[in-house]
Amino acid sequence: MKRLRILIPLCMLFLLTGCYNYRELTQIALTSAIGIDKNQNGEYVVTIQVLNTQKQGGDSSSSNDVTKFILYTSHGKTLQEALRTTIFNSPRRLYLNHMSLLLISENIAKEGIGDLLDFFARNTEFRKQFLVVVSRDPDPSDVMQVVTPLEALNAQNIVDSILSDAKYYGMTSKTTYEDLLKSYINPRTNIVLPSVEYIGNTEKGEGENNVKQSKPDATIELRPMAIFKDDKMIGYLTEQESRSLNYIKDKINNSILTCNCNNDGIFTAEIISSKTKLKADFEKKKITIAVEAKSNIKEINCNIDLLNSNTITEIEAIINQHLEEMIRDLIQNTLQKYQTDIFGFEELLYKSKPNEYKVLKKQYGEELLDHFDFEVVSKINVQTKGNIIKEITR
Amino acid sequence: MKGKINCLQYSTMMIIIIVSSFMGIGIFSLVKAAGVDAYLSVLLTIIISIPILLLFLYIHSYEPELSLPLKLEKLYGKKIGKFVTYLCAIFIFVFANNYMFNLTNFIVSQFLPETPLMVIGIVFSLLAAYANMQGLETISRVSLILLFINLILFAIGIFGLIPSFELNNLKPFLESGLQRPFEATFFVFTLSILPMYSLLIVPKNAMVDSKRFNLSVTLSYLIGLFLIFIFCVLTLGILGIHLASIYQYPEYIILKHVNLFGFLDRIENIITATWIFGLFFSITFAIYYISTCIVPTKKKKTIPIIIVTIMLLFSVQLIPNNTTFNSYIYYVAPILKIMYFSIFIIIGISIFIKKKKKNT
Repeated sequence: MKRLRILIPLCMLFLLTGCYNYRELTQIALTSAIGIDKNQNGEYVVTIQVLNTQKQGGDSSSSNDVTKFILYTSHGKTLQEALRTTIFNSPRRLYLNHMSLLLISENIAKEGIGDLLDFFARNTEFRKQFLVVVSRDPDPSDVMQVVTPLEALNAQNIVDSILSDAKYYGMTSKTTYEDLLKSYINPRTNIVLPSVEYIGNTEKGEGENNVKQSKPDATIELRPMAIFKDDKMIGYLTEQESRSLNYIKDKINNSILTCNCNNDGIFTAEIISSKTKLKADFEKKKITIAVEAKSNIKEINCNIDLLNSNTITEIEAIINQHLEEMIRDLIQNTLQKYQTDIFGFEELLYKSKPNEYKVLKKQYGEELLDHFDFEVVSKINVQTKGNIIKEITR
Repeated sequence: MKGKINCLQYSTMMIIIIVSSFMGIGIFSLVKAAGVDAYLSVLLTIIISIPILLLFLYIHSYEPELSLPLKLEKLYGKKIGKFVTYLCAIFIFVFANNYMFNLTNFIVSQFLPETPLMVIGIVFSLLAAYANMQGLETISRVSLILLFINLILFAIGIFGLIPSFELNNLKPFLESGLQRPFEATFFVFTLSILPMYSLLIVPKNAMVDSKRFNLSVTLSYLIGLFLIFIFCVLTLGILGIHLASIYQYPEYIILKHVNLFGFLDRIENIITATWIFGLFFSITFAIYYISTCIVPTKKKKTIPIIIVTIMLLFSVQLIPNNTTFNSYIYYVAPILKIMYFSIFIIIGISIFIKKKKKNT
C-alpha cells in the first residue's frame, strides 16, 4: 500500500507536465486576419495574414526592413481544407485564437455566406469576437496586403477604424462573428456588415514604402454597411442611411448631424448620449422609433442669433426634423427597394407579443411590415454651443 | 473527531454536486425543452422539488448513526438490504460515467483536441482514487477548498459578464405559457436534484454539529439551484436562445465574453476551473459512494482504484461521441434517474411504515 501511495503521485507527476499536445510559439503562425473569396472552380480561396514573428527588435534600422506581416494564400473545397493546406507554403501551423478580422469578398457575400459560418462556429480554436467585414474589392487579398501607416498590422488598422467610427461617427457598427451568427440563425433578423475598400495604387500599397511617405499610395477606407437578405448581400447603404440604421438599432454612441439652416447655410451638431427605444403597437399596427439624445453645436455657417432663446428651440426642431427624415427615408427605401428587415422590426414584434406576431406573420407573410406604419420621434436637446455665443461676421 | 466532518463541509459537497451535475449538459437539455424560458424552469424547480428535499432529510434522519448501506440492511434485512445497496451503487456508477465523459470530452473538445480521452481520464481518476484512499474527511476538505476557489472564480465570471448581458435576449416572456418551463423542470430535477441523494451515504451523526444539519442542507439546496439559475440567465441573456441552442457548451462560450475593468479578459479557461473542479469532485464522491456500498465499514484502499479503472474504461469505451452522449442525457438518463429516485421513494415509505409499526 505504501508503494501505491508513492506510485500514484509519481504517475501524476509525469502526466501533469503539460508536455502532451503542446505547441511552442516557434511552431505556430499567429493569424491576425483571414480573407475569403472563391475561384472559378467554386473553391474557397483564403488569404491568411500572419504576424511575422522574426526578430524585429535591436537595431532600429534593420527592424524597419522586416515586414510586419506575411500573407499566405491557399484554396480548397472547404474552408478547413483551404486553411490546412496553407501548410504547403507556410512552415508553421496556423494558430487562430488571436484572429481579429474576417474579410469576406463581395462575390461570396452576394452568393451567400451561410456556408462560411459553420466552420468558424464549430472550430474551438476561434474566439467568436473577431470582426466581420465585406471587402468591396473583388479580391480581399488586395485589401489585406496594404501596409498601413499607423498600425503595423492592417487587420488591426481596419478593426481600430471600425471601433473609432462606431464610437465617434456611427457609419458602421462593431459586428463580431457572434453577432453575425446570431443574425443569421434568427429567422426574424437580417445581416448587416460593415464594408471596406482599397483606395489607391494596388502595386505600390503593398510595399513598406507605403508607410515611408506622408501621403501613402494606398489606404483602406471604411465604407457604409452592406445589407443582406437571408444570407445573400443585396446592396450597400449610403453613408447617411448607415448612420440612420445605427440610430434605429441604438448603436450610436457619438455622431454628428449637418443640417440646413432655415434661411441659408448649414450648421453641424454633435450628438451625444443617444438612446433609441422601439415600441410596437399591434392594435394601431404601428412601430414607434423614439430617439433621445443631447447635442452640442459644433459649427455654424449661417445667420443664427444664438443669444435668442427661441433660436435654440428652432435649432432643436431642425435637428429633430432632420433626423426623423433620415430615419423615415431609410425605412421606406429599404423596405421598398430591398424588401429586407435589417432593423429587427419583426424581432421587436415577436418579442412584444409572440402569439399576435405569429398570427400576423401567417396572414401577411413576407409583406408583414408593409402593413405597419412607422412613427419616428426625435427628441434631441441642444446642450452647449461652444466657446462663442455669436456667429462670426464682419 | 477523526473521520468526522462538519455541516459546512457537507453543505459544500452538496452545492458542488448540485451545480456540477448540471454544467455542460443541463443548459443543452433545458433550452431544448423550455426555449427562452429555460431559466424559469430552475425557479420552478426550487419550489417543485421541496418534497424531494424533505424526503432526503427524512431518510437521513432515520438511524442517523448509520450510513445508507447499513440503514438498508436494518430496514430490509441483510439480503434485500444488500441488493438495494448494490442497485443504488450501479446507478451511481452509471451517473459517474456521465461525469467522467462530460469532463474528459469537455477538456478534449475545448483545450486538448489531440490528447486521447483516456490520458485526461487517467489524471483525474488517479487523483480521485487517491482522495478516496484518504477517506471522507479528506474528500470533504477538498470540497471545502474547491468551493472557496469556485466562488471567487464564479464571482469574477459574473461581474465580468454583466456588461455583455442583454435583458432583451430573455424575451418573449412565457411565450407558450407555463407549460414548457414546467415540463423542463424535469431536467433540472433529474440532472441536479437527484444526484444529491448520493450524499445519503454520509451518516447524519458523522457530523460534529448535526443539529444544524437540516438548515445547512436546505440552504445548500437553495444556493445550488440559485447558482444554476444565474448560469441559465447569463447564458440566455448573453448568447440569446438561438446561439445558446447550437453550442455544446454554451456556459463555456459565454465565459469568452468576460471582461473586467477593460483589461482582464481571455480568462475563460481559468474560470472554467470551477466546472472542472466540480466534475472532479462529483467523480470522487461517486467513487466514495460505490466503495462504501461495497465495503460499508472498513477503510477502503484498493477498491477506489478498481472502481475508477472500470469507470474510466466504461466512460471512454461505451460512449463513442458526444452526439450519443447528448441523446443519452436527453432521453435515457432521466429515465434512469427516475428509476433511481423511485428506490428512495420506496425507502421513504418503508421507513414511514416501520416507524408507524414501532409506535403502535
